[in-house]
Amino acid sequence: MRFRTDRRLAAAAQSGDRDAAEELARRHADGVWKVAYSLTGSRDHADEVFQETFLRAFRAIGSYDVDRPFGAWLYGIVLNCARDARAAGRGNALTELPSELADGRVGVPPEEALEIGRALAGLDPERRQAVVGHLIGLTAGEIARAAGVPEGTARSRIARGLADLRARLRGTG
Amino acid sequence: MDDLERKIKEHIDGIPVPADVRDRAARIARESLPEVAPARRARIPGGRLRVVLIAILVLLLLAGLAAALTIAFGREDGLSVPTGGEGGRAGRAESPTLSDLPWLYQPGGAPRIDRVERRAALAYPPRTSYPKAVRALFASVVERGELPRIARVVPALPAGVVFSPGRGGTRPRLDLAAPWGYSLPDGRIRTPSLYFPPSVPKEQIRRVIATLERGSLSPTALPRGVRVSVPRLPACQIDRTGAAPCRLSPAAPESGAG
Repeated sequence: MRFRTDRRLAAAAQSGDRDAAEELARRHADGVWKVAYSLTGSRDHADEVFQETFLRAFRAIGSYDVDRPFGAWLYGIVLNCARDARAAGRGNALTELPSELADGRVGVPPEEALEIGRALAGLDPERRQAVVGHLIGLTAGEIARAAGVPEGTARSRIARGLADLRARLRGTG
Repeated sequence: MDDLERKIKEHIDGIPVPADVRDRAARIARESLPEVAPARRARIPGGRLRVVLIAILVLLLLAGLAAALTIAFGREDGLSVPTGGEGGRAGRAESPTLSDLPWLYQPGGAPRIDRVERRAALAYPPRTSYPKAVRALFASVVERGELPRIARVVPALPAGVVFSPGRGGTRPRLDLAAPWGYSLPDGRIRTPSLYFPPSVPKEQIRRVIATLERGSLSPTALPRGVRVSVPRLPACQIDRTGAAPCRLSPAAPESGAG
């Protein structure tokens, strides 16, 4: 199969090409789920955010600007969906250790995975959103757009969130 | 990016992903794509979506100050309730009513509520609440491999209804196909879960997990504060006058998960 860039796939999807939409979704599925999980700390809630993200994204694919990276647009939607889930009382400050992490099957020491998961979960939700967005490569501007705040606020949340994480991991380490 | 950021990034990258996420994403993308995508930004309906609950062995949840650690259990090999051992007995063989219940046995992942055989319901004594009904079901099935002694088997509830509060002489009734409800809009049947308060030490949690795996858990022997989780059912899953039935997304062609 000929490789098509995200941009080409998205443009095709905007024209109603469902195969292109599928391929684009498959390409980003793993990443979206991981981010959703990192933001919600629960597999249930991650599933919910994951589902809502793809639903919103492809219903609104016409609003995607093909001159922007598709991943950044999609992850912005993940952040939004996670924020909405939190506002609805779901996925707030929860952390959960999937069985694969709990027994070390994925190569991450379970204790470390638990500590990092707890540290992330212990962050203020807005800072957690900013930190996770930052770590997956979103710019402060993209995080700000997703959160509906000025860019300076997003930068501040990233910095304070990372500082909080450092303190928490030092405290538990 | 410094060491800490790298470490957390690696943690995120290392998060295990459910096996079916790509298929699910592809299906959602295909189904939700407009015929011809609008050129201008469209308002996106913000429907409340519930989750697809996948069968998992153990989940640990930590929820802030007042929160709890959760262990949810369900195994991809289809065994969701402990079997054998001193404290637990197999529900599967004990009662035809319990055989192959879709919330207990999910060998192909969580099935859709509209794809499983209708099941009988349990009628409880008057004024039994939904939390009490599901907890009684959990305890009796896990501990004794049988249905709650306070309940009796009655005909199935209307399609899609999980709990009927019972009024005017009708007893409260609980659906046996999906007593923990199902996700919306895709209708995946939920499995039960246990909540562990933060005060329970990790070692003790691990012992409970091991006991669950051995199938010898007695709910009465759970650590203090541990409880069976009770979901908040959507209104459409409760049999009330005027409640609209749940609207499910169209089912994809049958696959292993269905």
